[in-house]
Amino acid sequence: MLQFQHVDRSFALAGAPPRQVLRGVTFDLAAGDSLALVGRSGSGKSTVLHLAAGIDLPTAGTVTLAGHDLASLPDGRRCELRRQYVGLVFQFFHLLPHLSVLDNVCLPGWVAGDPHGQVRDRARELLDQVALADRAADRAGRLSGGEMQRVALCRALLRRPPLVLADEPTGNLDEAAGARVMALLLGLCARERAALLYVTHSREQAALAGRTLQLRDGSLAAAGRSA
Amino acid sequence: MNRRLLTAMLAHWREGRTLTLLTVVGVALGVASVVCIQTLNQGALAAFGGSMQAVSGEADLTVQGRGPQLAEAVYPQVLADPGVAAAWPLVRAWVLVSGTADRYLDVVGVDAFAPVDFPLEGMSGAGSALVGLADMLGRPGWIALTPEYAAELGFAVGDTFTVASADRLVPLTVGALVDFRRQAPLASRQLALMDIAQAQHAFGRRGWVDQIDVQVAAGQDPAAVGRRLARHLGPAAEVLTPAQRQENAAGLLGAFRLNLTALSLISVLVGMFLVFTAVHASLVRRRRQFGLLRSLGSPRRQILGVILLEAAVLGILGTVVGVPLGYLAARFNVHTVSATLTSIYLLNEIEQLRLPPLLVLIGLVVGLGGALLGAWLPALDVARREPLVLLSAAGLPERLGRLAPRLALLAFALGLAVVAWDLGFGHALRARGFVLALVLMLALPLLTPLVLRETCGRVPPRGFGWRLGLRGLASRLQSTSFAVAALAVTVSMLVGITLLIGSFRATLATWVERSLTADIYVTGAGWQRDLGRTPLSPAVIDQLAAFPEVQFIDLQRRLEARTTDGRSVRLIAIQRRGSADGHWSARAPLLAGDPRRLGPALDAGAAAISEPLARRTGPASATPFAWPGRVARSPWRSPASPTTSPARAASPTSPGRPWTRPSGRAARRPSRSPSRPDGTSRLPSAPCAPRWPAAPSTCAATAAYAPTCSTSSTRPSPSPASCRSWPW
Repeated sequence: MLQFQHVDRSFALAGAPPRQVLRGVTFDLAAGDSLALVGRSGSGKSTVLHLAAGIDLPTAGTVTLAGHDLASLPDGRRCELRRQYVGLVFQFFHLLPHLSVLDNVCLPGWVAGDPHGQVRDRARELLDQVALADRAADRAGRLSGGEMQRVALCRALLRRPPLVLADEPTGNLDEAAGARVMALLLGLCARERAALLYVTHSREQAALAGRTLQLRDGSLAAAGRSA
Repeated sequence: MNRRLLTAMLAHWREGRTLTLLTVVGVALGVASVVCIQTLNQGALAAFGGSMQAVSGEADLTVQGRGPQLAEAVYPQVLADPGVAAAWPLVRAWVLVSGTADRYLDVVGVDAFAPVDFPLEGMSGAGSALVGLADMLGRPGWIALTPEYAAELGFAVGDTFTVASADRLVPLTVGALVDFRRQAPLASRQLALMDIAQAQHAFGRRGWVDQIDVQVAAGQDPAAVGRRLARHLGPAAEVLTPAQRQENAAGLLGAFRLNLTALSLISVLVGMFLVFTAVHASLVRRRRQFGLLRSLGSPRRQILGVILLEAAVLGILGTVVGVPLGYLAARFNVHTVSATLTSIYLLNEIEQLRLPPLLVLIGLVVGLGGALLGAWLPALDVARREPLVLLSAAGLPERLGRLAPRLALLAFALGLAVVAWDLGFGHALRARGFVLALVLMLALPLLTPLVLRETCGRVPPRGFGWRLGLRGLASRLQSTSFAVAALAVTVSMLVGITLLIGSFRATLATWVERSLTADIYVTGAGWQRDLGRTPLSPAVIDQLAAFPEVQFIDLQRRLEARTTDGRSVRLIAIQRRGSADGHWSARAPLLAGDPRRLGPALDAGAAAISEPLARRTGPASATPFAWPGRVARSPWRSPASPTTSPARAASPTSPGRPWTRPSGRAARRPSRSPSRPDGTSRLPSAPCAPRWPAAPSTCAATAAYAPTCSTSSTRPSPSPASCRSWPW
């Protein structure tokens, strides 16, 4: 599903030498697998996710999503691949506060131009799975942090993407809420047979994934397989 | 574009009500100003066109004098043309209804046997056309008013009232009502119909007509007949089709309409700035929403489409508010504009304002186009950003700082180009000032980012507040430079308009100081409207000069005329009695030329032209001026100066007796209309003559800026002379 081969990423800074964030990162993720990325702040974890989603491009090396080299594709085609293959979960949720919970979940379907009835039914189904069906009509801005992240999970899974990318999905939540969200994320991905790549600082949460990769100063330091 | 996605994105308006309102108001103001100005512009032309249609609607051609009037002798020459099926002369006079300050009648004196059917009603004799005709010809002072104006004045058929024309008081009787609006809905309600002979006699126009309307024979090409007539009649007369008359009116109003249109476009520009600022602020606030959409797979064009559709909806809302607002503003200002049209351009008042579908469409185009143009740059900027940048917690990095030098260079290039254009051929263009202003408005925003960056970025910090504020201005160029540019444009316009008004005031003050040197100014009633057509009679002038307290008088007459090349000019004829030496140079200070030669040249019949006219015609112009009856063919004479080129103007033939139909070919009338017993001459107007006041009975004294006849008692008069009427 996803392959990184010798991926470098550096950022140009005005009046200073470029800052290299990733160096020769190589790994792959098969369909239905789960992979946790761990490492210190600034080690390049989020950059890996951005490259995997095609919202950032490598300076060197190749990122292949469903057989497509993302760097070689124009922006429109990358958007199309994102709509088709990727579900994104952000640390800060990025819900539209003026929309209802249901509308927030429906958003990827509307962007893709899917039939509205089908989109709405699927969104209700997902909200039911995360126990938010009764909040469907509420404004997203009125939810708690944990509820917001559950809505964000539903939004990421709306179009049944084969790959879910989650950037510190529990980073803004307390321990209990974080644990609930993580369990839901893994459960939903397993149910939808979606591959999952997530970034976390928590060893416990990393241990929930099938594999773990550790980034240190932009390079893969260690890889492990969970029990 | 997914409808639900668009609806979802529009929902943010609830949270940004102020910005949304600001955008709608910006669009509405721009649309309103355009609709208001264009409604008034169209109303001005429609008023002229409506009255022309009502009076000359059945004419294929109109013969007019290049001076204010046309010698009656031209009529048989027109009739003699084989291509002319019928022709009928008209006398036009603006007269003031006595006892009112500003109720005028636009009197149309027409030959009762002209082949024109005016929609008369309410005549005595149970509507019989014959009886009505007899009344029109035989009853002294018979006049037909429009039903609207009769009601407004409180007159009914049979009522008698008095009108003032120059120093004459003329009693009139409402003989019928004439509903011109049945034929031409936009016709002026002030139109009134009289018999031509009565009109000539009553308003001192014997021997003169104002126009001759012509019907071309079947199968004849009106343009060809017009050309032949023009050749035959010579340059003293011009032959115009209805379309050409309308074009002339449009040309007369050209500068006026251009000024108003330019002002309305400035308000559109200001509206666009408002839209830009509001949309930009809204997009900066919502950048993460767009970042989210991009990360969900929304392509750039979808983002661009969403933002532009939002702007379009705001534009339509602004148009919906702006169009009625503009129309209301036009209605509110119609009297002011109307006063300008009547006092400066001598055209009909705007009585009816209409909002045609085309104008609504123009409003929509302006509103929608303005909103889309205003939103275009910020929309493009957001659509081009990478999703990561949009989702970032930090502010949007700005490219404007890097572009600033190039934009400033572009501003300088624009400035140089427009200066070169102006020095080359731009100065000859009427819209030159507007082009320069437009370039200034474009160049200022282009220059602003560099100026802001260089000034705010380099000012030595003198405290935290200053440092934060100035560095903030320099680092957020994308938003700050537009605000600063908008302010700069506003200030530059304000300075320009203030200078313009100040200069105009100074000019006016100088003019008043030099021109209004008399103690008392005496004019005929209604001279503002009937400019130059009905002068004070010699008897009044003699009476004035005979007053023991009067030391000397100036006679002044103003005439509207057209040169043979179609230029409209206003001639001011001054005859000074008992003037002191140096009088001319004091009144008309020369910019160039020998002032000692001016007086003798003027006395010999030359004319001095104003600086603006000299600028248009060029130095020592050979343009002949045409006057009623004859044309001055001599080129400009000495002195050969661009500002004081005198020209010889010949006197016309003298006025004759009241209108009688010439023998030979005659105006034809449809067979159902009554014909004259002898077929060649009309009923005499003699019965009415003795009833008119034989001598002038009134004379309005006023402190108007443009006197028709002025007297002074303050200056010594070396050789007091008796007054006489101006020979024209």
